[in-house]
Amino acid sequence: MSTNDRGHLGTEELNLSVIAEQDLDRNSREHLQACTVCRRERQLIVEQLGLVGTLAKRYAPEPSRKVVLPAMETDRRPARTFGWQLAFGAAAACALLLITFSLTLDNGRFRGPDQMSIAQEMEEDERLMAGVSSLEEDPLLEDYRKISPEEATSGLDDTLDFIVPVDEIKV
Amino acid sequence: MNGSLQQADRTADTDDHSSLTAAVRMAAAGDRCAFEGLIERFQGEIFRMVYYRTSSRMDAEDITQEVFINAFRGVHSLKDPGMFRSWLYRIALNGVRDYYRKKRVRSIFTLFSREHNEEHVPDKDSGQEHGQDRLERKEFWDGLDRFMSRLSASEREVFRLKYLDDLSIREITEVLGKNESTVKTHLYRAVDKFRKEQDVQGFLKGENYEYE
Repeated sequence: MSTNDRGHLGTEELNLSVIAEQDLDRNSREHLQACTVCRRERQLIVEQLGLVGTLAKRYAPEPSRKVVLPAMETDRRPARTFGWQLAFGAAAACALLLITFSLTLDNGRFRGPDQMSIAQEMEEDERLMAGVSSLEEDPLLEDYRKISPEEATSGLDDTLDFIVPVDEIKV
Repeated sequence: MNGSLQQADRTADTDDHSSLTAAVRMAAAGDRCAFEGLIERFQGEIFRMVYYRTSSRMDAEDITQEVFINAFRGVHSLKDPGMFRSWLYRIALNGVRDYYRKKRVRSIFTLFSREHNEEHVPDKDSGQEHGQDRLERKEFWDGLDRFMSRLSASEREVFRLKYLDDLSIREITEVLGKNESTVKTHLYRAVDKFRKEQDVQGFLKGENYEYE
């Protein structure tokens, strides 16, 4: 216990007694209980501090309007549900992306088309293009060429005249 | 006689606490009326708590509104209904911090003039205040502001929570998330400065040192 020169509690003990009297050491507590001077001193500090609060309350204005809650209590429920759904949707989308991405990977490398299949595809493309070119040159297949020889085309006009008479065409 | 009065006070406190706990439980279960009862009970003190820190009635009203809306949305997640008051103060303190953060950002873009002292004077339409009362009010807030400016941020906040907002040390630890010894240390320093500051004696001069 530290005391002032008159044997009463010092500033530290008095301050501490105001904040937490139980934290004082035993001697100080006993002195405070027995000494009217120290008790009065302590009471004065407590009252001054209390007065600050009292005056602050007195000089503060009153709120001019009441607090208004959102229209319906249920308003907060959909918002929270939406938030949960949004989070779930985002998580699902991320998971889907991860799965898709991991499927395209093979031990950390892209699995892309291998060299064999590329060569095969190129070969097929070339074969197709050759077929197209040959059809451009001669649209008739080999089997039809025997029954539709090139020279037969010279008598085509006569055949047409036979099938569709010229007079009829004119009409 | 004195003992029986103290006993009666303790019983009243216990009843009050259990009725508050019951109301918080009901509000947490979605009872809107119970929450409105809590607003009725705490609006005044939360408004004042914010006003002590913003010195603006309008801002205090806006922040108080936000505090209760946030509390309404979050009350279902409050684990201990007994901590409702300190939880509410914590929300309010965060609201005040947000307010100052926005104000700082705003002050970068605008020529912001200090309106603190003027705003403690009530609005013109808020009532017919006597000139003397107005002067006393201004002197009190100016003196308190001067004293507060001599405290560190932690000392100031702990002092406000204890002596302006009337919170217990336990509640202060819950609001600030600090341990008890830290809170007591800050409070001790603040009280020490309070006793040493001559200004404090000035702004409390002429008042009776008695509670209302």
